[in-house]
Amino acid sequence: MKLKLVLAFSFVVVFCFGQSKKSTTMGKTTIEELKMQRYEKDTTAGAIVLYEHGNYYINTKEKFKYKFTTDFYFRIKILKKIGFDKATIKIPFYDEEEVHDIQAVTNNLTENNVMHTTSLEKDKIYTKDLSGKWKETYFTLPNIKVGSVIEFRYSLISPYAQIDDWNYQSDIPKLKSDFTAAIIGNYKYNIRLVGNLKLHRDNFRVKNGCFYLPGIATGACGVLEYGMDAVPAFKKEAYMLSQDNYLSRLSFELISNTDVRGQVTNYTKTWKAADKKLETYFLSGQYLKKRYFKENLSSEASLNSENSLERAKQIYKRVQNHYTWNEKYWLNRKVEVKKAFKNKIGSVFEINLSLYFALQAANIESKLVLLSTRNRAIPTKLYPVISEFNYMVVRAVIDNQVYFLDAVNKYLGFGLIQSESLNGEGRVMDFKNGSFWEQIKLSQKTSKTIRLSLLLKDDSFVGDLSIKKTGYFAVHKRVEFNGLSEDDILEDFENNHPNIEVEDVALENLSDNEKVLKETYKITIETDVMGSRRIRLNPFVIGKITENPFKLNKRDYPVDYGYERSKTYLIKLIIPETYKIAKLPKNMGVALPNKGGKIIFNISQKENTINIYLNYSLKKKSYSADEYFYLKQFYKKLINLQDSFIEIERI
Amino acid sequence: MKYPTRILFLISLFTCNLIFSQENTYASTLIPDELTEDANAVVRNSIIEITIKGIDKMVVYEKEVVTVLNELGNDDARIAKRYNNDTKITKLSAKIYDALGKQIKKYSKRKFSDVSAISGGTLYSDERVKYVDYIPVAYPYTVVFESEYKNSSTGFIPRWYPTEGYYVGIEKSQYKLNNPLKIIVRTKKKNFKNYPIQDKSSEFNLHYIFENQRAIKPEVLTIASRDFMPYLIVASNNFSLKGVKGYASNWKEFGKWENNNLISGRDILEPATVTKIKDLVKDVDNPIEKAKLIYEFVQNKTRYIGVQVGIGGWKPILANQVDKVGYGDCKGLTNYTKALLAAVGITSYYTLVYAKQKINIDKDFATFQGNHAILNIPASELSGGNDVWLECTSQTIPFGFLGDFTDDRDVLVITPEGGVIKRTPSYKNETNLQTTKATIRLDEKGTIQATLVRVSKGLKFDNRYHYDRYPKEELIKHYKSKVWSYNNNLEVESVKLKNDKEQVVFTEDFSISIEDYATVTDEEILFRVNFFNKNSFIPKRYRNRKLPLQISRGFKDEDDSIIEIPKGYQVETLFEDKSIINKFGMYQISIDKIDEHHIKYKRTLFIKEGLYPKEDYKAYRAFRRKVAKNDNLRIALIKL
Repeated sequence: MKLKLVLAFSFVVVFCFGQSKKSTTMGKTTIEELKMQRYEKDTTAGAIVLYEHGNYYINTKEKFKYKFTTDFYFRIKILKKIGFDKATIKIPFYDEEEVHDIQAVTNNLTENNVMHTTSLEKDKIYTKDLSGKWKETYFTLPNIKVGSVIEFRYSLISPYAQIDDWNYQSDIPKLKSDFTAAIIGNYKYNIRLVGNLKLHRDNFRVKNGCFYLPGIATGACGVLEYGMDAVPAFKKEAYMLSQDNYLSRLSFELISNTDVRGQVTNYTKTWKAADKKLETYFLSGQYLKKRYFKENLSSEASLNSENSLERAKQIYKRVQNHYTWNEKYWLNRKVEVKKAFKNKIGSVFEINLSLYFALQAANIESKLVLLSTRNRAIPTKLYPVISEFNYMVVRAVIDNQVYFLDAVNKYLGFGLIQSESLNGEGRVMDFKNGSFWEQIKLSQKTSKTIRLSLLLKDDSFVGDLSIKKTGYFAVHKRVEFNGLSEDDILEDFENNHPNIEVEDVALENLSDNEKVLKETYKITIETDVMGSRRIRLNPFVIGKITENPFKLNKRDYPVDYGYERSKTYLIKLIIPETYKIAKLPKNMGVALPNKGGKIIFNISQKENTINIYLNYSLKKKSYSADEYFYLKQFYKKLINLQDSFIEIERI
Repeated sequence: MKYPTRILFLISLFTCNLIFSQENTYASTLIPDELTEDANAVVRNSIIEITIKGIDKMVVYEKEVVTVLNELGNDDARIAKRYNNDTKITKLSAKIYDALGKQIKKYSKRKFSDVSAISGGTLYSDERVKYVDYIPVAYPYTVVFESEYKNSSTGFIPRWYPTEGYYVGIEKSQYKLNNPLKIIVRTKKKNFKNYPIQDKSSEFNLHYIFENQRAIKPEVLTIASRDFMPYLIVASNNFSLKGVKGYASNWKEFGKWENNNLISGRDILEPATVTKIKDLVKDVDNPIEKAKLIYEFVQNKTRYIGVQVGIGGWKPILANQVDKVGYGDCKGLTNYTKALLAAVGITSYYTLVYAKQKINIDKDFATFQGNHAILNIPASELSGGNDVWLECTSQTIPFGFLGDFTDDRDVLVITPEGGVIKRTPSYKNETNLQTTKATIRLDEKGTIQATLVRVSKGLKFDNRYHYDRYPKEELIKHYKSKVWSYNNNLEVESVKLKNDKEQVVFTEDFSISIEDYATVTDEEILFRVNFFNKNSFIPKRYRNRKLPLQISRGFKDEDDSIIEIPKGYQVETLFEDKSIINKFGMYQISIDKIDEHHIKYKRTLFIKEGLYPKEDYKAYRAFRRKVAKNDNLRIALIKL
């Protein structure tokens, strides 16, 4: 749901152009549509949109409080029982918006091949609260069967100048989808087609004299008709960025509005304008804020270190510990830091803006960076769309090194940002020289090192296990361990590894985010030894990958991991004197194309000791659909390797 | 700058002390140590006080003081009150105290958010909730939440669950019922005897006090909390439900009231529908066969949509309304099916049940119970002397099959003569049978090609019959990532499903290949001999198990595979048959050579339903561990 930011002022307008007549009316279902049994292009579809139409215009009817109107029309064929949920219609709306003139029918074919229509009764239309100022009007259609064709229409009346996106693509296929609009000339929008599909109908013309303001002026309209045919259903894939990056849709962004007196209000035409607007959102009263943080933070002795990096780290830690995140992002308005700081609770913007001011107060060169979280589309680079951003971090430059800082999550290390915000490039807000795009660079590597030292005796391995984690692996573990006692941790470990018994657990640096998180376990592992002369041992007793995350044979969208990662095993096995080593797996090396990653496996033997080194890494954040096949093979080889055996024989 | 900071610190410490001495009741330091052990939260003081002011007037005052010890305890101190058209909230407030007992936040009634509280599966209801979303900044903290509401329905006198749940220590919890009008009130005290509960009740008023209970940790494979934690149910013989008055002291009377006030007269159908239904069954004589046709008719015509407003939470919507719109909730669809059966002269009874979690309707305590409705066709000669039970909300479940949703539990059957407690059929042990027969060809590259037939009955059927609704891609993805996730590179080349609703048997017929299944080296080929039914379940280890072991329902798996081995190889050694038989069930495997190129793998895993003392848990775990280990058994083929 898009933020509805621009509240239009009310004005008297007489619209001479009959755009409302273009709206599709009810009663278009045909006998052929009722007889249709399957959709050849997608036989798995539970339902298909036969036709849908959105028509946007300025309403002149007196009964409506607001004028911005969209008439919606849908005709959907139910093909299977799994498509029944398409018969429950949900219309979300924001605050002062209104839903009017709902009409809905279900058409079924009778035994005599006659259309039978059942209408939705008005008292079966409900409204409920969603979060914030959002509400939802909804209903379900009567008499739904496999084969039904449902038809419904409604009008959404809005006081906001924002035009909602028109989605050509959804989770079911569509035969035909149209969006038409008559946009009044004093509102200017950037119109953008997102996704890979092409428009089949693409008309835009300017019509003069299409409205008139009594006593003031007449004006022009932009009349547009954009349509698409045979739109395939969108199918989600694992490890995919937000589907909003790929779903075919029409997106509108308000650039400017000229009022009746000719006064122009610019919204987001250029980055220069956007920078200015954002500066007022974040920095107005900056002097006061800066002083406030100077008083509240920088005065503390530990924060006065001569070493800039040390000082920045102390401030970061201080802000990080001070705040509890309220799970909120940005509400696209002025950010009030002082109140948040006092209450110790804040949104992403309040927390990281506090960090920014505190760093400024401590004379650390820093800038704000805007991002969008991974559940949303990567912001467009075509032109500024402020509402696409919902995340903020701070870019600090210390001794010529760039650090991206995020104090929202208490478990993040210095130079990491929450992984949910690793979504494309960030817009660095340089309010002096103009903002720019920059790739987010992480100052900590994400890695895991498993060190095992095991002695085989009496059918079981005994020894030590240590697991060291850095970067996001450490962050995730710290979150997981939060609130748990060592006993709980031990119990969870045993629960996840039913063959391992733990005698003792030790944790290091659990509360120091800047250091390597280390878990140490004293363990006993019952082996798969079946008492025979020849014994097979699998040395990867913990943390091995057993399931290939990629099972599909084809991929349409890139695999996006967000960050690079690397895992290392260092294993030392000592076997009893009474055994000799019969066979070892072969050394191996595998590399992904385009320096995407590698597997290195070395195994060596010295008397009764076996040493194993395995390292595998994924060196890219994102792998294209073409690289998918290699990635799948990479996992396959890794799984086979981790499933291989050492064979020993009784002497 | 250093000086002022230090002074400030001293002052603030002093102030803290001052506040501490004034308002120390909520300081978390006052909680006895043993109550914080294994606890995420501690209930400091909980009071629920009910005053019955009339048959249709009840006032409920609640005060809950909870100290939250860590992030996981936030859920134990939710500040939320649900209500509906029948409830009027008269008082509502919440206060938050820090660890030292100093008040840090206060919410009056108007500061509460008020939103719809429509739960999943329901399209619309009049349920709403008033709540405060408090975000803690430090632990521990204490929430004092007070509320008072009036309710015109006395059918639901609040129950008392003094232990609250798991990981919660209880300092004090009280239940009080004031009964100035001396209305006859019945109580049922469950599991009271194992807990120190003081009873200070008088003849008509109730008062129970529960103190100093340590937090209870949950365990797996055990009895449900309601089978060992204490709770109290209270009902008044004279009651009111959303404006309808009633009297009942036992199930017979209660069922009669339900029938007369909520069920009776809801089954009227349009004459056209009656004609249609009569026409539908005109060619069959057997009433059970007629019922089957009608059941299928309902399944094809309707879908589940719940709309519950006011008494609609208890009274089914009219049968002719369901007929018109083609949807309804469990009550509406059950009542509709009942009406259609009645139209052709078949008697059936509306039945209340607890669905999902296996809970009995308490056969000795008549009051509003159950969360779901099903239909009962009473036993007759034609039904083979057994009751027939119909689940009316599923479009796909076979006639007369309940599955684990409502199996094996006491239910309330509502007849015009009154309520009767009956038990639904159970699906146990060998009833839940899965047989797998596979023919597998292994080549010298380690790739296998297999044909496989898997037949599922009982609850194994219940788990699978919905597969035939999956689109093909989804189905194959399900096999690859859920059923056989342990077989990497598995490809389902073809699958045929057969859902035999008549016999309640689900058959899957596969053609499968797995590339690189076996590990091939210069001298040998190594592979896991249990290809398609690896059971790796090992229950959690407990150093100190406290609760009994319960295995619910049980099942049996039988696997037979014939494996063709590549030419030029022979089996390394033949294995001795393995057989484990114990009170929990049985596990047997055998690997036999058929001829030079074929071996046969047979496996049986049988897990029996049962309740065992806690001491047996270790043995059961050891058993499952052996099963998991043997299911992972690999054999080697030696190159000749």
